[in-house]
Amino acid sequence: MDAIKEFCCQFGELGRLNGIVTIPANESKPDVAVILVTAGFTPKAGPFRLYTLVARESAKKGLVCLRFDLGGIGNSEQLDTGKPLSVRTKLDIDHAVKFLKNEYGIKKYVLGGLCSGAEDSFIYARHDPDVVGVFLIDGHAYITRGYRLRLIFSRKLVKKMGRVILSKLRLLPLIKHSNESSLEGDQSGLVDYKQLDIEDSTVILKSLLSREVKLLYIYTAGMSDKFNGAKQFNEMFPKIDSKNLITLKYLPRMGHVQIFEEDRKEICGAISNWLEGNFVYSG
Amino acid sequence: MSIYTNSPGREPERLSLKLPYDTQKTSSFSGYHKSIMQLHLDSSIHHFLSSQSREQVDVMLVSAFIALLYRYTGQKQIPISLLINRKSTRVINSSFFTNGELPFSKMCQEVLEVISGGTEQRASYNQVRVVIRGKNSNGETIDGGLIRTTPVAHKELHQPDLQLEINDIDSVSTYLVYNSNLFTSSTIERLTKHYNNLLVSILEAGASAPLAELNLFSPLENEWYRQTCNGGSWDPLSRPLHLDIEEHAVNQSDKLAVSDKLQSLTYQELNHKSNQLANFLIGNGVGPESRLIVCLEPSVHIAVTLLAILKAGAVYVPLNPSHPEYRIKTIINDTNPEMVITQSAILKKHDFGGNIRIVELDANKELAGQSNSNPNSTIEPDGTAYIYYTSGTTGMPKGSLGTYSNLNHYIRVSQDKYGFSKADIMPALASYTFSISMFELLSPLVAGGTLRILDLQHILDAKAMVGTLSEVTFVHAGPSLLKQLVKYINRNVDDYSMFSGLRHLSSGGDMVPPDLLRSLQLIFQTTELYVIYGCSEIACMGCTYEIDPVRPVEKTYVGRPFKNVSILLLDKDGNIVPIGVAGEVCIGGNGVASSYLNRPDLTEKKFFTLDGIKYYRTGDVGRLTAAGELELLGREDFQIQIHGMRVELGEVEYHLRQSPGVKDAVVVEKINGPVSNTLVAYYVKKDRYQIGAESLRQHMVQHVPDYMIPSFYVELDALPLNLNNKVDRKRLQNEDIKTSEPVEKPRTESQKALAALWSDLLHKKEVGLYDNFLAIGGDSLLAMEMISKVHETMGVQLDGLSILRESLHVLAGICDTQLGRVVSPDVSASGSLELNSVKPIKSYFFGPDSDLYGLLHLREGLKNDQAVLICPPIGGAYKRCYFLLKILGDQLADSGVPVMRFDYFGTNDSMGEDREATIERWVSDIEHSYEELQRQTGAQVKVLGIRMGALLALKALSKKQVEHWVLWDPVMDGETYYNDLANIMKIKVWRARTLRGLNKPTNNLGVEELVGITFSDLTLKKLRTLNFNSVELSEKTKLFQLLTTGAISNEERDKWSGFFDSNCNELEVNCGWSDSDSFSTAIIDKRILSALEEMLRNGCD
Repeated sequence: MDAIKEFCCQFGELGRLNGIVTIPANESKPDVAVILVTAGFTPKAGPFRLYTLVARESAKKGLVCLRFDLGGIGNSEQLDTGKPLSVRTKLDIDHAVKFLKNEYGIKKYVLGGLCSGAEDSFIYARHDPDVVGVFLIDGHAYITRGYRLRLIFSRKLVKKMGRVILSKLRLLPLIKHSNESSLEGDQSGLVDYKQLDIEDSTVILKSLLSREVKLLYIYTAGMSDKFNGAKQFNEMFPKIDSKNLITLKYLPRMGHVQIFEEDRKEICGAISNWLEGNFVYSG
Repeated sequence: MSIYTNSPGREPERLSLKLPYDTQKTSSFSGYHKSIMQLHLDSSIHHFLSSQSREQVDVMLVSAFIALLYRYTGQKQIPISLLINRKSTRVINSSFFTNGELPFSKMCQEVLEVISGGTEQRASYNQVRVVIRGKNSNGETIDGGLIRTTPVAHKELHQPDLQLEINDIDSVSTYLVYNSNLFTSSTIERLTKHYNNLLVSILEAGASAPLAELNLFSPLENEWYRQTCNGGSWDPLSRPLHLDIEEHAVNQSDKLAVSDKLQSLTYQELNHKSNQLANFLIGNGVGPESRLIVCLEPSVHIAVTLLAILKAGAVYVPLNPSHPEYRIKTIINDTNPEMVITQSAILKKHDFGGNIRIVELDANKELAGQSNSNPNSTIEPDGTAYIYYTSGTTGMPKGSLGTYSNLNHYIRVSQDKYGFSKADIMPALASYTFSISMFELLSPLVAGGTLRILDLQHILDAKAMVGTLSEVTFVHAGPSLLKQLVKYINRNVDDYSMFSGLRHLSSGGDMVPPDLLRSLQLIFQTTELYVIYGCSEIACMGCTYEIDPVRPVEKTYVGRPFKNVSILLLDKDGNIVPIGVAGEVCIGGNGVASSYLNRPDLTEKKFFTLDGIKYYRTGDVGRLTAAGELELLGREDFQIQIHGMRVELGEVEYHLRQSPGVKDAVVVEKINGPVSNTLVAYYVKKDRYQIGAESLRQHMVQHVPDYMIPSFYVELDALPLNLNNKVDRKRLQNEDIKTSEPVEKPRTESQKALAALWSDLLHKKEVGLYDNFLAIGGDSLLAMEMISKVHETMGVQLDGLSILRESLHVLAGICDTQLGRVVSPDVSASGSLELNSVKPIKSYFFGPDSDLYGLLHLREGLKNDQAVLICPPIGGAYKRCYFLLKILGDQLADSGVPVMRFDYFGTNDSMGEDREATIERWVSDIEHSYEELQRQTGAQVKVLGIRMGALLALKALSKKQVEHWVLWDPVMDGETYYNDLANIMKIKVWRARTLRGLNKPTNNLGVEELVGITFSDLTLKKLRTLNFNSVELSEKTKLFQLLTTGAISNEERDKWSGFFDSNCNELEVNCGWSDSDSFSTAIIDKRILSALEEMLRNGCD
């Protein structure tokens, strides 16, 4: 832990938003910060502490990282609930950006998160030219023709054969009720998450790419009802030129949230390496 | 608070007679059409009357008429107006007191006294009048059936519904004048005949004969009854039902027999599985009269288990796992079962008692090794086949015992009537703890068709159910469910031809309203429609009514008896009532249960034998039409039906009165538009007690099933009494509900929209932000309508379980999210930032190395001398209760009790990695948190410990000056806790293999990882040795415990036994602490929140 330092922070109106800043311990003054946006109802530590790990790994790579609870989540207070939630979310992230700018002199930002946190980051990035990178864990995905074809092969044939083997081994009952997305059980949780329509995400993606914003898309098996192959990204956005700004990680061996340490490490490693490769020396 | 006074100045209630109206008389009814019918009295009567004096004739005819009215209405007070037109005209209003034992001579004496001494009054009764005319009277006279009208002396009199005229112009002649808008001529004709028969009977039996013994019916009428009330005799196949299924397993082995959401079984598979279970049962001594509790989630296992029990010749006793612990224990104690057949997940929630053998269908290794051959067993027709429990008046559910012969009748007679075939597909919609489920479970299987078992989620989803209706051929559903489906279909389905495959649709279990039947006629035009009437005690198949596809249905007919079934409609004296007259429905025949279990008194009261046929008194009130159809009118007691489920109000009241602080209570059913049944509890509290609706509701939740829990609780100073000094239930029924609960108003657009829909649906003026749909009068069926309306008006698809589980506040959040996270622009009254309402929580790192993340809920200016330290659970359990603890912290802080929360080292937002965490470190974290809270507030610290946090807190602080402890589902020993988590982890590892091509996750998985936390080996060892043994508390210590029992394993519960008996608050809430399938579920339960708050403030009652 010596490589990093952490501080509690409260910002926004009357300090209603609660967060933790993680910084490198070596007194360096990075001008890129990572902001982790909470997912669903999960507080800022993230599912099985994923956000805490990402924050600390980012700081070890030399970046400032802020993880905070959006209003109404975790320990942050909600304000002005009469306004659209998207407006409130933008306002909350605005506060986070201003806080980092004022307290740490940050100029550029990378936003990211899981699920709704990924989508909120993506949407916010469109509005703020200081955002230079976005990472999305299980963000938007759309079923394509290729998806269906892969599904037929994977599910109907391979899986069936697998089940035959498993049943011979008397292991079937243990997996009978599971599918990929239920690895960690019911993911619908308290709030069902509705992703962006493809039209909206296409517009935003084009806009971000035109600004040379770098993007890391991570898809786990938790998205298997919509995403089932690395090639699918191009199938979803066939007319978009990624200009090598998009990195895709397809991790079909892990669930939507990572109950196993090795999965947490893998996903965290993917993010921190991407951050390191793209933003640590970028200034 | 509502106040009722039983002041003597209240206007007395006007008595009304329950006459056999053919058209329902309403308060707005005003039409009058006068008709007259002459009474043709038997010559013997004329002969007798001619020898009597004029006064004697009048007295006899009036008395006989009153006796007739008594026999028709059963009422002990018969109010009539007497208009005596002799030398002068007098009007006398009087109520004649009658009963079945009253000799006719006494009746005559009463009438004589009234006629002789009655004082003239203005008429106030307008239902029945008797007009007596002397030779010189100046009134109407009747000539050859034509009315000759002369001026009426008392024009102010209202026209009566029924009027007996006694004339003696030349000889005695009698007429009935009636309003033909209310009575048909055939009804009046029967009345005249019965009047004649009654007079003849008086002459034959003598004046001393009691009113109840006088005969009304002619021999012809008796014969009509005998034929109409008997469904005819039939000799059904007597062989046990399971043999039919075994035959199908041979003849159509690969045909789909039963399916649920996850799996399906062919006839061969079903037979093999049930044989294995049956052989296992028989091998373990199960046989005739062995009672087996079946407590399963709805799935194919129900069919397998039922069939196995039938094969073993044992007794099937279904038990609903969602029922509260209290009820389950009561039924187990009553049944004294030999075995409980269940599933491991259910076993974690319920303790079935230590002495009963438990068979876990999903974990019993012996089952797979059993022979799958058909067992050899002998089935005794008189042996008990099943016990179904229904609500009981004394607070105890009552179990009715059905025999194998009853069961055979049940299934075979319905097969005969409705012609089941191998092509039929039937869904099981009723809870399998209700007796009608036997119809659904066995009918398709015995016929060789297909049974489809649906889960509650599916049944609550109208869209999914409509899909089901288009796929199956035979459906039986309660009227409430059908009502919701009809509403959905009317709104969303244009082409009804999608239901053309449905050949049969029947409804029952409750009164089936005519308007619902009319809707069904329109939608299911090619489907045969039936109403089925029955109950557990008669094996459900009592009567059935086929709905004419075209002719509009006007009344709640249930039709005619099934074969081998007889019905009787009896008055209170045990006499058969005339056509059109209401009586208690008694059903006899082959389906009648043998008895109630352990209730000889009730058995004797409810069952009787007549002419060699055993009958059951249903308590339902009905009447026969002239066409021989039975029409249901309601109940004669305090039993009601909540969506087809029988509820004895007495049982609900019993448990309400047992609630601490309640002095007296009554429960009434409110009929309120589409919310057909809502239970409202009125209670009077004991002196010096403060009780609220929530605490009463909590008490009820723990003692009765959800459908028996009142939706409203109204405190009264005294229960209102009627003239007979009995609780005036009618008055309460007609009262508006005024509860004193404060309501927090919805604010956002979604909240307001949802509140408006709830308000409309539940007929409530106000819906609060934190109201729960179920708690304020909704139910699972209304939830269906709610889903549909939300979808229609807001474009959001909610699921039924969320509606039942979550508050309006949370549901509005779900709506916002589904609406693309867009809620409408500012609609709050304040509009601007509500800064005053923002009360941020102070967060900071503390501890010797500033490595613990802490949160302090503290309101400036409200500093109190009490503070609360929350010691959270670890792992997934912490995540589950995080939101709830935040709200609890806010609420306590708002009332001046500062609260400190923190994360243990190596968890959540505290420093360190999970591998670095140790038990000692966590114990010391608690000590530091305690000191930090004391330093920040200077207050006396109370401690709330949750799960592992409770155990750690006691280790850390038992020697400190903590006098008030609240432990929420504390972990009693580390070993059990570890095993629970390790088991989940094993499942996770196995499941992960599907994603990893059968490879295990690599990093020593399952050894030191426990559901998201990686422990060091040393920490794990230490964790497993933790227990309460070394905890010593001072005598001053007050220890309170909240048990949310639904989620704790039996093993763990055993450890608690006796530990906290004196200060324990038990809630039947499934927190799912270690539910491997719903990690992301957050606990937002108002009951837990208020219980914790109350316990932290005051402890337990």
